[in-house]
Amino acid sequence: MSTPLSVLDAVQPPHGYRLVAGLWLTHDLTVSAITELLLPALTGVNASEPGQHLSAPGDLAAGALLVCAAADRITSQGLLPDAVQVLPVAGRRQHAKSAVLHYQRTGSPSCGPRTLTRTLITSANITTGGLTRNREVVVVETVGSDTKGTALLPEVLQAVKGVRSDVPPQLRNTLSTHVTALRKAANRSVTGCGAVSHSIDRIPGHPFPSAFDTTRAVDRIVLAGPAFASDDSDVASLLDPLISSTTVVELIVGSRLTANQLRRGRGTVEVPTRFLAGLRARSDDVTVYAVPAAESAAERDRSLHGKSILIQQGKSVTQMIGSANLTVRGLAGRNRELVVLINRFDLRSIDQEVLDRGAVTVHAKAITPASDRGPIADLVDPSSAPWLATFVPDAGQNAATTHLSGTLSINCDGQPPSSIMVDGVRVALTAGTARVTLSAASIVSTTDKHDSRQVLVTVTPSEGRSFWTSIPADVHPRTTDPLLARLLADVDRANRQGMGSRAGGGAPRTSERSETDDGFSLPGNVRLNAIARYRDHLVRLDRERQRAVLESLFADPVEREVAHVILDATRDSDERPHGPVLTALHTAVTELRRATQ
Amino acid sequence: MASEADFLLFWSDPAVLEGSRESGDPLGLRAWANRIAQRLVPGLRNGTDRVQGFGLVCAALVLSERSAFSDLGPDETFLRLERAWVLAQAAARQSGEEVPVWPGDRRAQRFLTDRAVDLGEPLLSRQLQMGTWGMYRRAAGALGLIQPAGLGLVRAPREAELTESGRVLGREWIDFNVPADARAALSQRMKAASVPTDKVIDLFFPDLPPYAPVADPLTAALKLPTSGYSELRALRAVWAAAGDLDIRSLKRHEDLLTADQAQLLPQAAAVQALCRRVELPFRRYLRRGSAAAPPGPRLHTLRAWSAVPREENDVRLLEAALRRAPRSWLGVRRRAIELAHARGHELSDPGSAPSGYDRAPIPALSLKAAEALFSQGFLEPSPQVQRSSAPSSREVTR
Repeated sequence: MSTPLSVLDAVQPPHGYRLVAGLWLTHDLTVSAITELLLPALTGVNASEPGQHLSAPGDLAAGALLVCAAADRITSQGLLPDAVQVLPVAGRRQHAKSAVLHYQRTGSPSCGPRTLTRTLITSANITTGGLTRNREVVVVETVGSDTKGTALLPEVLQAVKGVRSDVPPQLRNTLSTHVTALRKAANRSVTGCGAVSHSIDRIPGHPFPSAFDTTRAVDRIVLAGPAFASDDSDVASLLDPLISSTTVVELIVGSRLTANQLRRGRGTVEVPTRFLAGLRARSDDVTVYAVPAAESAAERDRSLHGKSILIQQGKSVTQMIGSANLTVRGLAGRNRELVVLINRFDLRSIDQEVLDRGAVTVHAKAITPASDRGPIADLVDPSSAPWLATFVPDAGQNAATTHLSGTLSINCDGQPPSSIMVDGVRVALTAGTARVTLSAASIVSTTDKHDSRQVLVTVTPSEGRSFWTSIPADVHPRTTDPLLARLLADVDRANRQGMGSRAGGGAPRTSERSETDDGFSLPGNVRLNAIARYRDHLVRLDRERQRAVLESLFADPVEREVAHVILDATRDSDERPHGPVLTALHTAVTELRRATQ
Repeated sequence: MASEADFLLFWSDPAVLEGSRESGDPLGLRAWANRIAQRLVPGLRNGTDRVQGFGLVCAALVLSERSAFSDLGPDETFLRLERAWVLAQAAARQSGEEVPVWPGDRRAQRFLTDRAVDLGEPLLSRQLQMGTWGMYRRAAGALGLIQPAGLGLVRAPREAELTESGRVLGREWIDFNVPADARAALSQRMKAASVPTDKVIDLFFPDLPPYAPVADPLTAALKLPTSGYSELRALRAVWAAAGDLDIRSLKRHEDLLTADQAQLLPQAAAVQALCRRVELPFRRYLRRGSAAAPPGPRLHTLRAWSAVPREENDVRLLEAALRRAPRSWLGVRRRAIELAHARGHELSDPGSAPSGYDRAPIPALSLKAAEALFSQGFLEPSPQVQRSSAPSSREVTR
């Protein structure tokens, strides 16, 4: 347990292996944490190279990673690649945090099993904090295709099936198929080891702490977790079999103070006081420790988010680790939780893990009751789940493009909404479908169907993997400027076919073809960008030829007008010294937006 | 119940994110500099400054085509060749040679303390991406040495194939760097599970000039009708005339450059100036939380800033906005947040950027890499040096 590791380190593919499928349970889910952090780690992509993190999804097949998250805790800002399928879980709160990741050996000759399957049981959510900053606790099991005996893997896979009834109906088969495929692909000969307890399919008859050996007296118990406000109920009562008057009790909570502040006794530490009172009523020896949020004010916030109960019975040490907070909802399994019980080598490791990381004894006068950080409902209303949408970008774009034009389709159970908001602009939906331009920052946010609702957008490129793997423009020696090459190819094709000014065969615009689909493989905004990029060359042409070029490139009058403005501004730039092109383009884009609203 | 021995169990440490993804390019100026560099110095990157690097990439692919290496596969062949090479160079430096430092040198130094090494052990946590392959693969493609084996990208050696020029360079690299008596043992040593350290060191000569035998095939490769030929030739001419490739030198010898390069010079100078005057103070602000200069709030209105390539006028506009601004970095920060969000990132708060964030170098625009390659004989025809038949420096120094 002394190896310094982050959650992301634990999911990186082993040397000589690559991820082929995965399943992840989380409470909170931030889409950007998947695309920016998790996928690059899972695929071993070097994310420090500009743009490379965007290419990570290209290493995974569509739907390779299935993520089940509480339906009301999904932050959908961002675009999900089709390698990831998110299943919003309604009903009892989905709070379990666990993952099964299946890796396949690549062509390397090195020895090793054909496949490896990692099972994680953790306290970490798929959020930036959970994956990179927080103090989380993680158990990792690795099972090879040739492993024999018992393992956590089959128990976790079995537990995951428990969310099936509360995911959207159209996705239930996806979950079942994925779990079955993972079970088959992983090692089928290992059997469960009986160490996993969960409340995913139903509330258990006994609270999780009853899984400990309660027949022997407990000498010491160490309880660690964030200082979430305790319930009205007496949490300590759930630990009754473990605590007697002679048991040494140590409660370790997170704090918002720095190490210096804690050491100097400055500021107060939030502690669930009702829980603390319950502990003191049962034991004569209760000490509270606080873990600093950071060494100093300049450091990143490192909140204690791990949840652990550790007991010492004579020479035996046992620890329970997982998602359950030190609350009634957590320990009694009212939430969907998942924990694992592990025999530890000795108690010394606990001191190294938590107390040596700067935890400081908190005196009574420094304790303040934990404030309620806003109630989180036991039950998650299905209507709080985001709408699911598929976005198919137009050809000629890749994941590095700032704005993507394409077709968005809402895949909801029942009547789709009539319109959605995209970047502050209302867009009408026809049978749940619309032509839109999206960016990671201005992604679809709400609909007007009854109430506002998030939309979780999955990008399913028509060009498949190349949508991701074609970034950035790479080694091909003939590649000079792909944008210009593509634009010229469009025009050239139109000329060769003698179909007039329109590219793509000059097909007439119909009501089925949207207003932005004018037959070019490049959308209008990208063509405008090309005009802006090559404006210095274009203004050297005479006016007639300029007009001809623009008419050949832009059928839409607004776009053509914008292109004219760009060229006019470029031509007049000598008279307007301060960035006329930028000013003109900004004005033109604003006008274009206004005109199309 | 399960036992601790069956698991990896830990409290998480903070993730070390390679590079600074949150605001590595807070104002979008580095991306602009990269675009200028790609046109000014086509094909090269700031790190591609050794002809031996190109040779190493090609040599691994040449070896992987041989039956003796077929069971290793291209990726493993490359990785093992690179490890052996880096180990040999680290050993040469320990014995007093002035050889350059290669990626993975630190771990190689540690390996050298052992009597035997396992060439299957990585020198870097992600050796393929962070090592010589990651640095040179694109440039090797741009110079016409490798090409995609299929339709996709060339992210790993297995996805690449050699062009005829690349094959020539690879063979020359082997002849130049591997002593004749070591060639026969190359495959055996590279595939062994454990090799005596001195046997690995003996596989290569130290990486010392002259580099003509490697530089010449590289020059020959560029004579193919690849894009960038005339630009690199033009830069070579300026370097010969001025002795360096500073922007001032380029301006003095503008007549030697291509029209596109000459047109880019104001932008190149502007982006360097802007990084010095605006970005570095802003980085200090993010690092230390205090403003060294008063840029302004109007920047957030420049949405089109990211839509079009920058030109001198645009730079003036930006600088004028900064000069007129009130005493606050808010405008710049808002602009940076816009950019970061557009990329799906968060942005650090003032005073919270990692150490070293405020010491970003002024963009070199790949010009330093071109200078270094020219000084090693790239684009300069020279007489062949048969190093393998000449007395080796290794024999002299050891």
